[in-house]
Amino acid sequence: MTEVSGLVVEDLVVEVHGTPAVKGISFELGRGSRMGLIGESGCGKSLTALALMGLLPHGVTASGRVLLGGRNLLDLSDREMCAVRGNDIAMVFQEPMTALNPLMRVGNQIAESLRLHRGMSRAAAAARAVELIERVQLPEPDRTARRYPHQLSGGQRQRVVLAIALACDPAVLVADEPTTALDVTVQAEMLRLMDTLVREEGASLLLITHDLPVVASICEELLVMYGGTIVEHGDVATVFDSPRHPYTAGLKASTVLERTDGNSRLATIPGRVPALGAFPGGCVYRNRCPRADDACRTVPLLTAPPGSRRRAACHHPIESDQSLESGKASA
Amino acid sequence: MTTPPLLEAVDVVREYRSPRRSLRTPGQPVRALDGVSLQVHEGETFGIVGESGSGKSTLSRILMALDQPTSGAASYAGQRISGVPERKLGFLRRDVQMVLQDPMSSLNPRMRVADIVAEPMRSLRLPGDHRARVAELMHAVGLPEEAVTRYPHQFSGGQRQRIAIARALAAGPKVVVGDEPVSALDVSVRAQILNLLTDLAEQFRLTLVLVSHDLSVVRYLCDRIAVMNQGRIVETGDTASIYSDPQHPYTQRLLSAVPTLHGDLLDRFNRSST
Repeated sequence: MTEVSGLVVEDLVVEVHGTPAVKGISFELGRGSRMGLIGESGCGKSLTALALMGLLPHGVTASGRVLLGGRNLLDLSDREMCAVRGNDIAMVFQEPMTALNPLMRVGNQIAESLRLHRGMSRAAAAARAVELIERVQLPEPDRTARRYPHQLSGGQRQRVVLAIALACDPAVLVADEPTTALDVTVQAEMLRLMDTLVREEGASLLLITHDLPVVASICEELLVMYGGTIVEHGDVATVFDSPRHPYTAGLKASTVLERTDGNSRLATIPGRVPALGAFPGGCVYRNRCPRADDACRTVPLLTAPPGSRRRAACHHPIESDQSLESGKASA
Repeated sequence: MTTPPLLEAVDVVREYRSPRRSLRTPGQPVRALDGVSLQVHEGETFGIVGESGSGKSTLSRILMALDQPTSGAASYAGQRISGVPERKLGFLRRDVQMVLQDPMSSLNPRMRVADIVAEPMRSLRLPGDHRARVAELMHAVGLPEEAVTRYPHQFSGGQRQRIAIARALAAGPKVVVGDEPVSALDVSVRAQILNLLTDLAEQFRLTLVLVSHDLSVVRYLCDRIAVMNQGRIVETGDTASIYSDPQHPYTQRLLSAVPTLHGDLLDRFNRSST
């Protein structure tokens, strides 16, 4: 069981103009744990993150429960949510240039959340901002604090966004594709920094990405999302080593570009992600799945085999010593 | 190799002026390319890898005569293409085509797919039945024939990239230059497009030049690669030997920064950067 201070999501449903895009997902993020959430575009990953943060756009509604410190965040008023956001739960966005205010010095942007949530004086907040800039390993913290976002590189801006997110020691850090816009060497530095800081602060991390290797490098647990549902959940290393859900296996095969079939072609997932509301009934993956049959017309439950914590929502899960191709029908 | 290279760059330098900082002095010149030489032979798949700002896109633009070098020259099939007026570049425009990263900005949103794909044939005044050729291309890139009457926004990202590839093939080129052609796509779609590129390169005997920051994509697709850093080619050679035994420190650092599914990235990266 998770400690009280973690984040518990129960039966979260997110509807876009009445069409469910996230269909009742539940998971627990223990204090200090690091969880990856992966899936293709259009699978509901980002909507899940925005729902946790209470940042859903107009016309998109969330129901269910998001429990943090004994409170359901979905029940809070806008005003109450403002006190939680940035303080107890904070977010790192994909594109730092749009997350930062171009007209404000970065030091003031970090200080802003300290003044708001901690009631610090202008001077104390400014001093703390310089310390935070140093913590995210930016050079010359005093001078950097007085710079504007356009004077920093992409990697430096993302460090500033991370400093803002960590300013108030949040219990939960949600990172939505934090390194997708960065070069590989900068990405590696940024991942290393996030890893260190999250460990030192004892915060929980929810890392959302479509890049499987990024998850493998800093997360312990993994949620795989498809069609607004969680299709597989377990320990990162075991899920990648021997995925049970055919979707996870397909993602893995198309990520590992070395693995090729007989004519040296890459393994792919047939078809594409359906549009919102166009996913098939029953198992959401059945129109693309090589193992689908009549049983898949009913919704599979996210269950673990006896004696295991690895849950998969599939009627015909892949057993560990069996490859995907040996499944039922081929597409 | 004894055959002359299809595409060649000799000691190419490209300088840009940075924006001026004062009214009296002009902006400082910045070297985007600093003496780059390379050869791409017919039928090979050549990769140019590097991080943002390394000069890889500038180089690909110079190889297509879309930009002019400050000094040095690029040539195609032995003919100089740098500093040559556009009206004399008809042969190059027919033989070398490009696929860009973001199909949403490289496809005209107001044109139907049929017109987009037929445009190179029209502008190059190629003879033949353009409609039949468009139908043939749609088949080659795996799109339904009725897609020709639709507009780009009615397609998914992967399908749009297929349209961009069909357009690149329309004039019957010998070389296709891809500037980050799969970087904006999801992993599963990326694999589909990479397979398509491999199929088409075989089918139409294309020479592919792939510009990318993604080392795994380049590794899969390319026979030879050039690694760029700060406007220079730091290492060039067979893909297999560069990946198994990188010589230059920058290549070593770049390779060790690529995360893998086995999650040892942080260890490897810490070791290589200290």
